[in-house]
Amino acid sequence: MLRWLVRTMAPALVLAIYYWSFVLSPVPLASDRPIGSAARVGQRAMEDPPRGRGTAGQVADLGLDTELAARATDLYQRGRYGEAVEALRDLLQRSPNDHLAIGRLARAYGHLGRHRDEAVQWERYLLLAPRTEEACPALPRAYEAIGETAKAFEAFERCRSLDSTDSDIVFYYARARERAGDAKRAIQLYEEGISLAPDYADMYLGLARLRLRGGDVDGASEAVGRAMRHDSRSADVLLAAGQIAARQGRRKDARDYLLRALAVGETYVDVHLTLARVELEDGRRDQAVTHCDRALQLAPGSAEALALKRRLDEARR
Amino acid sequence: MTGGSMPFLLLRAIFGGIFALSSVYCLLAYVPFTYQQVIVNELIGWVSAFPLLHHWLYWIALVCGAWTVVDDIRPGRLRWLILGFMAIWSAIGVWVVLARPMMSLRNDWSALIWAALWLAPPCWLALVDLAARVPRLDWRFAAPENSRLFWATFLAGAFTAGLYAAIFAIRFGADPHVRLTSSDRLVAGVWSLLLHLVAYMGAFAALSLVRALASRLPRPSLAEFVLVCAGGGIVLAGVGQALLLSALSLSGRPAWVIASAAGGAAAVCLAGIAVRMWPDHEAVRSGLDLALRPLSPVSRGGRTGVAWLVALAALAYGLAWATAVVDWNYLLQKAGVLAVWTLVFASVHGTIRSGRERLATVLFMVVPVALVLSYRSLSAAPKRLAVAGLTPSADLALVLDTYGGYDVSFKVLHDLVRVERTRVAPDTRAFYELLQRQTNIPRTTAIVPHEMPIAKDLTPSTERKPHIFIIGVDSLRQDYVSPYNPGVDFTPSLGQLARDSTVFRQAFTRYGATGLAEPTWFTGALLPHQQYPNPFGPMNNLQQLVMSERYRPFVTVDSVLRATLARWPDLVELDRGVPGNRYDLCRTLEELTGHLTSPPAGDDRPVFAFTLAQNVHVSSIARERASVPAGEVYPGFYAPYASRVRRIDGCIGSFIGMLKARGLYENSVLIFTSDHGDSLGEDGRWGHAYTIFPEIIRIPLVIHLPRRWQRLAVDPDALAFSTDVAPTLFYLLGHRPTVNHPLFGRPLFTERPGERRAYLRDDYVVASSYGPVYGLLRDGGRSLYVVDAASFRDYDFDMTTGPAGTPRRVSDTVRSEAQARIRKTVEEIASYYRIPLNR
Repeated sequence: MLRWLVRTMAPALVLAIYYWSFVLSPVPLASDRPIGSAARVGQRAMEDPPRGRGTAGQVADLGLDTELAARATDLYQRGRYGEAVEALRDLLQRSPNDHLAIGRLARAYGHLGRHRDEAVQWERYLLLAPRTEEACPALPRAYEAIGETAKAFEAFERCRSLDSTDSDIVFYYARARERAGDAKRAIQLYEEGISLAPDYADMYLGLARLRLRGGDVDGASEAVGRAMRHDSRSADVLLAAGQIAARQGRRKDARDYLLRALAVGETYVDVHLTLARVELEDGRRDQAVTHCDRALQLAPGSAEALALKRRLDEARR
Repeated sequence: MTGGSMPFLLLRAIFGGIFALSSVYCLLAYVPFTYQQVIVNELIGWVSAFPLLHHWLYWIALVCGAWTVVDDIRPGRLRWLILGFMAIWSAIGVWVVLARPMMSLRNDWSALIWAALWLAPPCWLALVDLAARVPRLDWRFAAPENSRLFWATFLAGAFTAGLYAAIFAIRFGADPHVRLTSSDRLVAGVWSLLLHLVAYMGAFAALSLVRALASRLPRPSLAEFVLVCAGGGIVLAGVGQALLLSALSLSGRPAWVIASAAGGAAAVCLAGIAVRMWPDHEAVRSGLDLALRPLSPVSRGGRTGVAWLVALAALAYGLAWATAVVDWNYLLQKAGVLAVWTLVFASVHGTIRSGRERLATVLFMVVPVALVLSYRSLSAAPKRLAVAGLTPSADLALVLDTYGGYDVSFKVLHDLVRVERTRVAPDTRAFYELLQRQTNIPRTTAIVPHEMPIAKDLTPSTERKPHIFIIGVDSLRQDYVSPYNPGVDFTPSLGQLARDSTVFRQAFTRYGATGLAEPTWFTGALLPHQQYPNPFGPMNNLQQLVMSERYRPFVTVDSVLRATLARWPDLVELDRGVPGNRYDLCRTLEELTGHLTSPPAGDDRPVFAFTLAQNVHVSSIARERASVPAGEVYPGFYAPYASRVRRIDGCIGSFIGMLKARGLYENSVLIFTSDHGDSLGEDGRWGHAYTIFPEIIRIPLVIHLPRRWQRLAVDPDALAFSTDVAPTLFYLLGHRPTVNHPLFGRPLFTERPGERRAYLRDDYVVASSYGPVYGLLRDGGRSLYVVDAASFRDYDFDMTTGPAGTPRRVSDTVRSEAQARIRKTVEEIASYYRIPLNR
């Protein structure tokens, strides 16, 4: 009996050890080197010629790079830009030429309002990236944001030279010139943009704005008409059409355009202000007050709205 | 008829083989992928012929089976058992002839029931065998044979490990593409030996326990026989479910049902044959000996045993060589390995003679314990291998994974014991289960198709419309065409096409394998993992576009399109009458050329043509016996594949020449692409059905535009996908803007570069068409993370190191982030198509 017990218990014990070893408490196959270190199999077997830091160095970095990149991506996507910047800087310390990481770092700085750092990164990106469109128009706009207008213009010119067919760049450049008060160059650029992309409604709009400012109401009206043909539902286009109609004394048309603009974007302050002026000129003071109050509600500190409010108050007296 | 005679065995083999095939056929009808590809698409010719002949085969099987038991019809209960068998299965046979049930199998649970039912006749006959023979055998008491059992298992383990290591050395020893150094090979060989010994010693312990338990029962050898057969059935069911059915993407309760039925049937049938083969005059001293009798012709022989082992080695080599290329997810190779293991053990056990029990049982048990502890110790600290002078060139886990691709015997064991399989964290297991639930969704789960327009307005454009030619080549790899690989000198026509076209250098499919890859060209969006929602028409954006723009359509309507196209009244079907697995691009383009050169009078509509050629598909190459025309050599390439690429390149050249000669080329959108790539031996991998690997998701995508559109902005280095084809055509034909949605593709050409930016994503989910295997393409296409929910493991590939990339060890951070992204996309798909997540 004892012998039988031994003959039964011994294999049962072995099977129990198997069960413990492979089911209850299996041992994972440990890495014999840190994650990322020699992480890729076959590196030596394939006899890739070592370059730069050498195969082992490249291999060592790739695993960790991937982790850092994934972490940075995650932080960026969650809007945790400050932490994303730290992760991306760590990544770039290990892979200084990773243009994707540089681009993402630049955008993260942009979100944080650190436009000077953003511009520095976009400059690096332009030097390293195989395709540069990501940096345009972000780089010149970063310069614009820090008041470096000359550098912004120079960057716009560089962007244009990288892709002369990119009508977006031309548009942003024209807007920058327009903001800087260089109407002549801005008009040139808008016209150039129209020749590149004839259905680009914003180009016509810019042109109309500048012509209106220059007193060329008919020219502005013509440009807005073309913008309307391409995008008749844009609040910007409708606002411009309303402004021009008002300047031409067509207040009923102006009111129609502006009300359509409000239907698209009820929170558009400029539309409320323009509509308030039109209503005032038509003697519909109450309606004018309503729109002016709404504009002040949307933009409480707006000097333009406050001035109009004063004017309306004076008109009541 | 004598039980062990050759005629008896032959008749039983025919009988059992036909019913086993019937069962397998029904199983193929149950799995959605195999139903679509094997049953509907007739991927394998003889399988398609099987249901046509089934009613005749049934009767042949029945006659063969009945013949083997006719001598046993004597008075007694056995007679009723045999006559009952004949009467019942003959009646069913009449019904089979009249109803032809195999011709009308449905892709639902009824096919699974049929698969189990076809196993009943062999089981019935096995019961006859057992009833006829068990009472007549001499079941004497058997002395323990632990020594014999120990040496049989030990030697079988060593022999099997050595055999497969030798096969690896013979087949790949000098192959420069194998990414293993000589030290890696040595380390892997030693690890393989250790694992094989651990496994076989486990079997030794289990069999020893069986013998010990049986020895206390009234008829020990009979008890041992019953326990061995029952245990064998359980092991077969478990292994079949874990290794074979999971390779067919069959899991859960249905897998257990059919695995249990098949394992039980196999065990009962082998038991029946065993008792038939055992001679009357010989006492049964060992139940194990009896159970193994059908598996080994060797009985305590010396030279015969060695000769038989040599024959088994040749069989193992032949199986490995013949099944690797045509295999699906290692299914055939694993089945071959399991068969060889069993046969080797049976042979070695039959060869070794019983002797005196010199050592105590306890001492034998020290060996398996020592082996297991060694395995644990080395797993915990692989550096200890260095003590024996063994140092892998890279991380040991990656070296072993790579070696497993070539040595399937090792792979089976390595996959079984790997920790990922047994110790998956609960949240990861839940994630895998989610992927399994959302994959291969059966047709019984109704997915209500809804319109998912790429553009809101389908009013026909008034502009001059170009002709559109979409030329797809099933399974064509990116690195086998010269626009992507300067080392290719056999595709000059595609090289020429590339010069006046846009070559998207980072082009990928969203689905491995054709089942879902092909429809995405038409939907322009990711799909529910079902083949297919019905009706599919509302989702078929490209067809709606082509119909709305009043094109003259020419389409090769393969089985996938047959299920996904809506009614198309003026469709001209290319390759009509040609079997789906024989679409030859040269023939198709010739037919299309005929249509283009003689258009119907008064019909000046532009042409839309679509075809998906099968020239380089693995099944076509296998059918043509991997032939290579005499004199053609392709160093560094898989020659049977490359030679077919050369041939279709010539035909594409002729077709483009015709377009140019007729002045059509400059007013044509010509898209040359493939639905997915293929594994051609990278790290031992072949095929594309159930896997996602770098070489499978990379596709060629070359787009030629009419001259007037060549000013459009395009970034050939940006990621491009098969889902982008439809949105691009919508955009080009003026239906703008195209929808910007995570599941949809984007226009590849735009008026302004800025338009494209809004469509770009940080990463993209890809998937296998047929299995719960998903991937995440990250870092601008530089990394591919793969989740294999069929085998419960993940991979991470560096995509920058060549067509097949290079595996990297998966870090926890990357794992959690990638799994979260894939989960989000799977949930988005479920939400978009209104599929319950926990169906």
